[in-house]
Amino acid sequence: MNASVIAAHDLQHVFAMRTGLFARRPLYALDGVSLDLGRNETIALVGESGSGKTTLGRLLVGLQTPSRGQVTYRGQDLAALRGEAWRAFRRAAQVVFQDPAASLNPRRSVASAVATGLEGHLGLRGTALYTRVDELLENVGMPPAQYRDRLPHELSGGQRQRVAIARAIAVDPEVLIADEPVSALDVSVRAHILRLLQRLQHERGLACLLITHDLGVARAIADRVVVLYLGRIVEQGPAETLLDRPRHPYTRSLLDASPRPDPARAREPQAPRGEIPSAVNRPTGCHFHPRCPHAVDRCREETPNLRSFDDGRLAACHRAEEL
Amino acid sequence: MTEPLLDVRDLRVSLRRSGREVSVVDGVSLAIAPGEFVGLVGESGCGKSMTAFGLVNLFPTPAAHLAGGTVTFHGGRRLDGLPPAAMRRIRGAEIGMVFQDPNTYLDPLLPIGHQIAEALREHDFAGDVDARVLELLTLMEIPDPALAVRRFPHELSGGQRQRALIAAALAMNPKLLIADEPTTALDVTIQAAILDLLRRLRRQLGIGVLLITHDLGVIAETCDRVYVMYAGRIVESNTTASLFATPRHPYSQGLIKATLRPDRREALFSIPGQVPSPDSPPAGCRFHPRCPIAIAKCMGQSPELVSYDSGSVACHRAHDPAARTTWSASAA
Repeated sequence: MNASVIAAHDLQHVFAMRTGLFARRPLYALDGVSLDLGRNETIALVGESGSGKTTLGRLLVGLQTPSRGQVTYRGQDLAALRGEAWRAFRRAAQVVFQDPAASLNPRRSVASAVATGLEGHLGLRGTALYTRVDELLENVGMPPAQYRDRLPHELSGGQRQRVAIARAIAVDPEVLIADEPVSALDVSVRAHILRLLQRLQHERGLACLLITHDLGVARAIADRVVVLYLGRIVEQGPAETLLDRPRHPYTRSLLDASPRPDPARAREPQAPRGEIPSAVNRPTGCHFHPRCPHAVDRCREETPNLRSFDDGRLAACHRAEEL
Repeated sequence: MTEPLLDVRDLRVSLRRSGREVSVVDGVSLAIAPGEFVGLVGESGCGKSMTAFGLVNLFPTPAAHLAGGTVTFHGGRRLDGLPPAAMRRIRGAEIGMVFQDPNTYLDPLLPIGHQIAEALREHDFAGDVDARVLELLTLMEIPDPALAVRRFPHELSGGQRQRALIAAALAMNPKLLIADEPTTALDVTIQAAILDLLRRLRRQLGIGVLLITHDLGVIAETCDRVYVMYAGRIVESNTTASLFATPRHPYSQGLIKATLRPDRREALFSIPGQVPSPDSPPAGCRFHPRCPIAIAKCMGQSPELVSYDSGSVACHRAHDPAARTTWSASAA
């Protein structure tokens, strides 16, 4: 593993959740999460809604400050960055969101959306600016002569996502966080966008965090997969081994629930049981135990630690060896 | 096939757009047998939802309207051309409908039990309304049904809201359920549970289901038969097993190849180009601009849907061996 560009150290993030007129209870969005994101790698962060995926993404790029723990960029604590150093970080870490329609200004042309960061962060003007914008559009597969002057509503969903990606890479970031970048797109164009992300990641040696609830997307381009459940990492490891032989029952149930274009597949009926509980009301011990078909008394009482296994994997399950 | 539950012939739906008539559903024929689970699949903009709206003559925009075709429902009744009041009686009572986003269809200010009861009262349910609501929530496997009836939509999870909507759609014991992307907005785990529920309801209640989705994985897990739709037309139909084993139309082959699998890593594939706008559909086969095996005939002449074995396909080259492996040469 190469040196980490961005790292999370024992992050905890707590929101105060109103539960009554005056009552507030803590909502643990993240609880003790550590993660290293290295140059030239793609990590897929997977889990259901409410697992803390998006919160972790926001903390990593400094959009929010963790309640406890640190995020470091090249070894420096984000919370300590000021002035020029903070601006340099904000340029180095870029985000692409799920819904490109909401992240693009409807009244600004494609070229002007891509130009924003180039003007603000790099101070480009005039011909230099427009030459660079054209190069970037070319690079994401949108011939500039045809698309430069279009408005977002004149583009398809896939094309809007390309514009959002061009804007993100315009300032030469080191870290790219993509939050469900293809969930809003048709199956037929998802591969276009994933291939684009994969190529850019290789060409530029990006550290890429792909937030997705779709294990098919994770499988397609991730080097490593991190599985979150109710704010904790339950399993992490190389994409192939983790998805071929999951060690945590939660990973297994996510895989089992994922649809496949294979009518002959026999799916285990009704796995997993129930729905993800609220983070205000986390179950004791292993948070997954109420939904786990293999839970024993120990799982109800004792929180499992994230343990290393010899196949390069980490898993937080008391019964990982036997199952 | 026995007497179909729903028999649609040559359905046409048009949109009035700046003084012009634009055809969005162009001669769709499909049939659903009693108790059959049928899928309608295609990319966004192919006319799947408009087909569903056309079946029950209820459109989200006044610009859309039926422009032709016949819809024959259970017992030989024609639904096309039925007066609005008569159509309303069938909708909800004999044909239930569920859509993608439960939030749009649930009133945030009313408890869900009340909303399901409303569906019953509107159709003059003869029995005990409260008992029926409880029975429905139990059938939907909503935990603590007696408490759930008094809950407001925001107090339920997304999956439970979708269950509540399915309960309302099934309140009057319809014979047909039309579900338009019912699980697209949900987590995979919740999706799996809702699909399990639909399969069980079909078995238990013997209802026919028309499931509309862009996700072939969802089709593979649930449907007996599939219709593949492209640019307003059906391009292929078959049993689910045969369609996935030997897709004949290059579009069907492309959709299957583009589906991402969690169980193995495959080269990323996408179909080049995009669905044409209904304003200006290509001449001939509407798929030809995106098709790697298109020949001169495809550009000039629209292919008819031709039956073979268990299915039918609309492709001039369907019986050409090259058409079995349309996308193998392209690295796209």
